[in-house]
Amino acid sequence: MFCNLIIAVLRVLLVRGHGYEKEKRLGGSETLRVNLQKSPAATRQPHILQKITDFTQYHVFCRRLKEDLDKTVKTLSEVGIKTLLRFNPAGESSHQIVKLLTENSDRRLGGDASLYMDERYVEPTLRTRCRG
Amino acid sequence: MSNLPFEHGVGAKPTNRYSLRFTFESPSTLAAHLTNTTLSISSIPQLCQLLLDETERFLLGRICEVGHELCEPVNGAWFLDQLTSRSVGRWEGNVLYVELLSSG
Repeated sequence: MFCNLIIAVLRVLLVRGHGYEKEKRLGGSETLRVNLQKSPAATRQPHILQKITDFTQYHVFCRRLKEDLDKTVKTLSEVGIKTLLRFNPAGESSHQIVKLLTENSDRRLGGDASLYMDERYVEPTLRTRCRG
Repeated sequence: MSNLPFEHGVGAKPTNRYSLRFTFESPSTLAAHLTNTTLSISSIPQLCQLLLDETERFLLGRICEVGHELCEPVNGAWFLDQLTSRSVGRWEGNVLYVELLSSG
């Protein structure tokens, strides 16, 4: 699924890069300079691989982080302390993630995780969410 | 944490004293939100140490709670000595120190 996403995003990024180059060639430097004055961010040379490398690094980072948190949960559970982990690698909605990956902005993907030691202290609603 | 793009929703706040909360950001920024402070974590060994420390603090706290329940009939007292990382119990002239050993 992760690879499918990369391929899809890469296509979008390549098409965008191509569109930028084409506009530069056809419109000439005059149009570009006018656009640049209007909004510098929108006319900046679009990155192609930066988002992909960031995203891949984040994927590995989340996996590594979850491994260590899972280890803590497992260790505590083994000695009879039921521990829960809620791990959410992407806090944004799917729509926001697509925007984040395909638009020329510096916004980053973010997530959060909560580790609840001793589930007796966890509210029942949250407990269901952790398990689900 | 206002610079984070992701605003944390319902349930993300620590709801009890035995919860640990982390926020992270692409490509690899990690912050741990502890009771009194927010700690920026820059390496895996640092994360492991934090998990170890917090687990120890939780276990010693639980030992104090159990000790407190058991020693209530004899007016015992239990507390957590943060400096030496020990649970200390006193009742009827006895003192008991509980220390945790890490098996690595």
